[in-house]
Amino acid sequence: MNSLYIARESMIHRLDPRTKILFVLFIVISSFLFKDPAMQLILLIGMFPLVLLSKLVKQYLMSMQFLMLFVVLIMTIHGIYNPIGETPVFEIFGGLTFKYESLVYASVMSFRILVIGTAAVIFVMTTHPSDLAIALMKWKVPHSIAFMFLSTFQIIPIIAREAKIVMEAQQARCLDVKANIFERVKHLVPLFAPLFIITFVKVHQLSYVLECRAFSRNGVKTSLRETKISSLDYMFISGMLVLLLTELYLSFAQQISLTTSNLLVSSLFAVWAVFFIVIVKFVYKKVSVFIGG
Amino acid sequence: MRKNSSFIVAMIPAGIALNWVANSIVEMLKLPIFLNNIGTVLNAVVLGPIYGIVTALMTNTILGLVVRWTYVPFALVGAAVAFMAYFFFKKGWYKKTWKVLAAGAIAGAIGAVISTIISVYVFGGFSGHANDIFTAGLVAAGQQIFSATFIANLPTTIVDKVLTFWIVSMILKIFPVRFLPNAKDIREKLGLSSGNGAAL
Repeated sequence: MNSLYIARESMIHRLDPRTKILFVLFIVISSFLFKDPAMQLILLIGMFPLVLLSKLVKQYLMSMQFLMLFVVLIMTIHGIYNPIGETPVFEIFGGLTFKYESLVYASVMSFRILVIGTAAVIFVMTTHPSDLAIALMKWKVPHSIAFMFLSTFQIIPIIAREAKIVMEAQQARCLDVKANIFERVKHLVPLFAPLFIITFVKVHQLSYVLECRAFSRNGVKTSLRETKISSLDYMFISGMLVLLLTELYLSFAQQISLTTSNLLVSSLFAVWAVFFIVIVKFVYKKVSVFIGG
Repeated sequence: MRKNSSFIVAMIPAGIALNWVANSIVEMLKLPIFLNNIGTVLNAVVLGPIYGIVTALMTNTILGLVVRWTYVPFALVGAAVAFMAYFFFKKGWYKKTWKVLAAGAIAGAIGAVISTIISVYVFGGFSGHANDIFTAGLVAAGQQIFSATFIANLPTTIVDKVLTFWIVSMILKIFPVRFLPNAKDIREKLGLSSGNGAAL
């Protein structure tokens, strides 16, 4: 199984995985530094050039769809019902009002989810899992942990295939998948028992193979893929450092606040609009299956 | 432990895979639960608490890398469940069915508290599952955010963990345990005679 990695020829793909890990950490730290939704929004927009550079705009938008559910729920529910809100800014039907303070709270939280989500998507989509494991080993992470991490991606499809075989075999032996709910709960045991035994057999095989290849011997381990830190990485890291110092200055020395109620209401509308588009697309897909199929 | 190191290295990814694959089995039976801690609990019982916790942390890291990053903070729930699975195993609670169910209920309650705290402070009370609709409805009905999230999470988490513990204990009872590294310990704590399992 692949992770979300998508192979492209781009500047971001050529960066060392360690640089990208530092980048994700930098984004997480800076999104928790700011308590101001406007600054979070600037951070979010500031990352779009990186998405463009990595040539993954479509895939990025696809994977952000799932985070929109969070954002819509948080903005709407917290904006109306959070008890910290006092100043009403915007009223919808039935006397439900969005309050300024609670909208600030909700939008900080939801923009933080989007900001970290963007950074994580850039990192995952541009980093091959093997490169990540090698980078971890260069950071003195034990070799066995890097191996566990990598072999998970290999073993999930194997176990999934075995699970499918077990399910079909038990159904062929009259396991009723449409019985009442207590019967179905009892059916979990005949489905999981063979799967556990198969898993143990596979694990034993894998551990013999590992021992045959001197896995637990000490010594230098080499690998097929190589990662190198280039001048591009140094440029990237120094840029991040400069930005981090600026952010620290802005958030501690100078109390700036760019947030206005107009910004909050328009971001609320934007979130609703995007969510509406996502829903329409989803429904259209479901309906077109019925019509086309 | 040196002797079994490659077994452990192979067993942890298998536990993660079981956590992952349990979802498809539950989907086939159309049960409203997740069972996404089953490999964690198995590893905690078979390999010990530290490796159980490692399994839990790595499961959520992989989920975060492959699906979406919002899974990563919930790794703490899995770690707590792994620790409790080992704790109740050591106490010998896996011998009787009602004790297994009680252990699962306790683990589920503690897991629900931890997941509520995480989802309230990181995601404003939402966790990305279908439960979020209940949470939103409860908040709209006048509940506090924290209690609404807790009420929406508690039943599903408890049922989930009770079933996870029950399945693992049932399967270890019919399993040829002599293949496991701590076979003696498991036989003792599950109340099996030494010949049990060898016939399978």
